[in-house]
Amino acid sequence: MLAATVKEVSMKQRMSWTRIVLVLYALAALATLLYTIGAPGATEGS
Amino acid sequence: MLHVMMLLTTPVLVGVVAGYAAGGRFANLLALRLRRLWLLWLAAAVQVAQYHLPWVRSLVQDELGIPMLAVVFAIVLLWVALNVVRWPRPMQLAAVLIVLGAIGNGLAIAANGRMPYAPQAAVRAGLSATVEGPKNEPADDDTRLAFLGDVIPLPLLGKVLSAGDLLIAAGISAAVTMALRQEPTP
Repeated sequence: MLAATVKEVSMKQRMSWTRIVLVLYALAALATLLYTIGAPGATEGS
Repeated sequence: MLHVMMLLTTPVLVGVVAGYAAGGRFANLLALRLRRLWLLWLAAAVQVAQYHLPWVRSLVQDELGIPMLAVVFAIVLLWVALNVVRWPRPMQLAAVLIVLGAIGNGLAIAANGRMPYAPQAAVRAGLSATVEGPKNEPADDDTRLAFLGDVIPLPLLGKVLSAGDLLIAAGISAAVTMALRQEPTP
């Protein structure tokens, strides 16, 4: 019972952190897509 | 590559630091609902195709006459529009900065086909002043709205930014700060 509860809490924490990272990643991706950071070679991959 | 990563992650990191300094918490991000995230990944796929699939670029831009940058901008702005209506008011203000920056960049691109960069700014940033890429071209006397182009050299990072880029970065930082500070809805 205790082990199951600990496992459930741990899974919830993992899912929470995954979601937090996803939100931050999405906002970074938003900036990446809108940037036109310039000049030759500088924009590759941006 | 490291410089590009620094440039792209810095606005988020600044937002996280500012958010925590203002009493925010990562847990508050869980209350933020991001809808239709697939639109962002679709825009990223279009941008990757623009760089790495010349036949797609040729088909879309040369045959169909549609600038791929415009497609990327349209998809991203659609995503912002779909999400911003549900964001808290402070985040909506941050989104205004992001959209203003995107409009500034978009206008320069729409007026010239690609984002113009100031050759002298490129030189100051330690870059070549003559090379053209899928996204950029050196500004000359025929360039329109050159002031909205990439004119701000960042010698330490070897990059040239536009005013729109700065607004986008400020908006992203502000959005992250506000998201960390927002109170979760019960």
